[in-house]
Amino acid sequence: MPESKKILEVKNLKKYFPIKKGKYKEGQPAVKAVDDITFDLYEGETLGLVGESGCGKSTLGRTILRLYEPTGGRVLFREEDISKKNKKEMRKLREDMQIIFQDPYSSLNPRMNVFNILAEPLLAHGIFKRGPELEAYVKDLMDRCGLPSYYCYRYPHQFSGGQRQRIGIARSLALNPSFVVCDEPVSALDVSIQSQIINLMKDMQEEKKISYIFISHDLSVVKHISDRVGVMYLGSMVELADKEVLYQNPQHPYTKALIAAIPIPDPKKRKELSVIQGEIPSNVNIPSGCKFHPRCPFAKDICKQKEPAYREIQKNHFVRCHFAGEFE
Amino acid sequence: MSINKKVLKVEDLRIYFHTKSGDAKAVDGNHFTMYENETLAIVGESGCGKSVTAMSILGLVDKPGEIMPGSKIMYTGNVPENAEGLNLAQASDEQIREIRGNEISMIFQEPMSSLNPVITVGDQITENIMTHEDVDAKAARERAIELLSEVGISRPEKVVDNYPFQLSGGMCQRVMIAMALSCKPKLLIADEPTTALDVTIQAQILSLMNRLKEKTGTSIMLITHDLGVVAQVADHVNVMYAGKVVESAPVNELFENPKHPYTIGLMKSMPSLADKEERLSTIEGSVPNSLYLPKGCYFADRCPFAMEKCKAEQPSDTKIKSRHHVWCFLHEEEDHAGK
Amino acid sequence: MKKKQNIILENGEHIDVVGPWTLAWRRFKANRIAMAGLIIFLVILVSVILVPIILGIDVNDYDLSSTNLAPSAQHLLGTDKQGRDVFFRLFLGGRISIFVGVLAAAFTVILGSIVGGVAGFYGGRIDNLLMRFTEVVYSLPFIPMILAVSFIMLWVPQEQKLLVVALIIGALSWPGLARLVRGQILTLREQEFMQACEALGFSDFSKIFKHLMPNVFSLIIVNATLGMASAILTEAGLSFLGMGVQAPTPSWGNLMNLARESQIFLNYPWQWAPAGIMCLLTVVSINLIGEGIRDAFDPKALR
Repeated sequence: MPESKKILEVKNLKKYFPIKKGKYKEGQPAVKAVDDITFDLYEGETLGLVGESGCGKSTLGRTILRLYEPTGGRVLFREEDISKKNKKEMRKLREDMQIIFQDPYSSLNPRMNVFNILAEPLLAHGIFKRGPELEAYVKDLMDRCGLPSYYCYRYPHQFSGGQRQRIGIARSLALNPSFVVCDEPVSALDVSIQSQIINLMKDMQEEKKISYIFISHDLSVVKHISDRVGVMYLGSMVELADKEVLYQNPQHPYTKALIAAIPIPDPKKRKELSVIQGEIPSNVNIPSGCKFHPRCPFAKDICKQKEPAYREIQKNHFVRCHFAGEFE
Repeated sequence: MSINKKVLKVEDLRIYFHTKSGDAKAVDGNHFTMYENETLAIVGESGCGKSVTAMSILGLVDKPGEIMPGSKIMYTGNVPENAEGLNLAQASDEQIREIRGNEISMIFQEPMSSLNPVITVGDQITENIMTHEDVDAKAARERAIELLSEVGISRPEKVVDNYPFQLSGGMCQRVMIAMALSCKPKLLIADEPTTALDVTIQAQILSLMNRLKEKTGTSIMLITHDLGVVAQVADHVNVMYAGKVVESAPVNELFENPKHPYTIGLMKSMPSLADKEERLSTIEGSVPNSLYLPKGCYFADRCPFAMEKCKAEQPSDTKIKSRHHVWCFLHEEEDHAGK
Repeated sequence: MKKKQNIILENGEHIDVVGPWTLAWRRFKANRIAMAGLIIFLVILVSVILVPIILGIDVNDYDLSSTNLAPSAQHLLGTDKQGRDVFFRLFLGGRISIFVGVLAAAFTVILGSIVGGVAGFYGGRIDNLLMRFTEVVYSLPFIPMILAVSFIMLWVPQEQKLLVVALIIGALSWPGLARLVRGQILTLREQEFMQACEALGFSDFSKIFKHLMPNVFSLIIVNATLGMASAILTEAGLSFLGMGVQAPTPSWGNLMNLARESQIFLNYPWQWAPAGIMCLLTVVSINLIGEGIRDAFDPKALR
């Protein structure tokens, strides 16, 4: 990663959901969806976040944007602590940080047509007033997102999943944000449509120098689009590195297992896919010590007792494992 | 491979949904043969008719859907070699019920919602066994425990008394497989069995399915959209597009020597771990609406090699080599050479 | 901004640019039973408004010299025991019954959607408080309450009596709607488009009125229609028992009340039967419309 400017710094971020109703209080039993996560995001970079369901990757994305109030830790956006902003300041800041959702069906208001969906953020932030200029801007935006502009009076139910996702992307990009959280944007789409959307997102990034946090459970997609990749397990970041390093030389046993479990589209390379046994524990009863130790083929006594530190074993290669760097 | 016994032969299967705006051709000419001890993968994107095909085999196509006259689904799993067998497209409800769950069984995409939430796992399996076989409750329960341990559930004697909500998604899918296998079916239909599961759990389920096939010789029909899964478990592959089979080949042949532009496009548009390309290649456009299918080849609109002919008529079956067929005008010549 | 185009794609596929409202209206039109209901209801509505005006009779007109007449050309449905024209009273009574129904439904909708909407949107303690209150009202026994309250309200002058009846019906019927609206809003709030509103920095005002309300609207309309039908029935029941609209003001309920006199019941069916038939027709037609609207708005069919 060339040393460009940091756009986002996430420091010891925590988000706990109390099991009982109401606000989380110290020491209560809670679902630790995001548990002490630290990383930086640079300008124009894509950071991929992978992990299995329930690992907290979506919650992390939303907590960074303060769609969920963090339980602890800080998020610095352009060196300003966003958790200290009041409602009005936060609203202003939202022009610059956006999110793209997974489900192209529930993320669009079924009672608004495309034009209104795309124009509303521009009107709400006072960037345009109603009139021909707004119309021209929206049509240009649709055009760049691969939506014919004569579609602008149609309603979401008249579009296919892929087209709806294009509308969602256009809406997120309408305000020209410099940072976008992409929450599984292609998981609900077919393969041939998926590649169209990924290309669109890359084009937009190049055009506008956007930084992405790209959340997905699909390691191949993440590898394709990201510069760096972080792997999450039960609310913790277990490994974070440049993508080539991470995929070529994974250090955490969980990362190794994830990569090995991907079915490779080549019948000549058939292999015994299941490398790790067992299932992800619920994140209410998190195992002691290293969270991964019950499933880890290399687990030793220390793993059961002591939680490993999140350490940098090489420049820009972070691992949370006692034995990182010692594996072959 | 072809020494194996034929279990199912589907010919000219057409399933139309009669709607107010006309007939939606969900499946429009599907054909394949399934053999014992072989996994046939049916690959395609959503709406290509792969699930409807599976439903039709079990007689689960409901109104407004109709299996059009002339469609043949010949089940030969329970008759001697070379005998005619039963045409499931025309069989009575009674005949199909006899076969369903017994000779042919199915597992679904959503394991959680395919199990009844208020009945224990064990009772659901034993019920299936006792419907089709003449055994008493105690023997059936023992069989259930045995099946659960066969599908890799540890402590099956405890799990047998659990309710589905007490189990994770992967466990539920194992239970579904155990239930599907409870009557030693000749044919197992798996409709996207791992799509709802995480990648490490998917890996476990896929290797379980491979192991079971080798052990029991069951013929498996695997419906999926994931070419990675296909490459790992299938023996033979049918690629479907807009209700039609466009290419059919043994798995190695298909990945080495794909012929149909759609198959090629699909393979190229998948991001792979190995590639270093900056851009993914795409198939432009989207799948045609099954109400307004074009006159010619259904893929012609999106095909980079489309010729005049492709828009005018529908391509017919072209044989590339043994068991490799493609429905595309580009390869017509090769067929003549082959003969 | 108003121009709408229909689009024809290259492959001949027609795509209409239709909004959810137009689409719902089209589906409603295609539903013959619902359309029949709508036509019947409109005919009844127009006639209860126009017939009394055309006849030009006053409510207090009576002619003791011509009592209990059989139907004739002059009195289409004869006269009652005070010599009043039954045909006139039937339509005037219809006007009042439907007016009470509309008013009661309006009260129900206003109270129900405000309470349900506020509870659903703000959640937390407000939600808790409002829903407990709703449950209290919900658990009041409907008929005894209405009888008791309207008995207490007997001192109210005749002309305002029907307002009171409508108010009581409305005040006791809103909890059902409030629960529905709250449930719907809670589901909507979980939808990603509401999170998108937050992420895009929209104001609460826009979130409520542009994004939430239009999505609850269909639910409210359906309930308002069905609520109107049941309010008409409740009014009829109350008036039948003598607790509703009071004579000389007619309503379908107190017209039917005449049947309680066995003399009239046996000998002069034209005095009470038409009111029963009209009431039945109205309620059935409104219910058909309500069911039609519900089907037309079915979100599953929207896709």
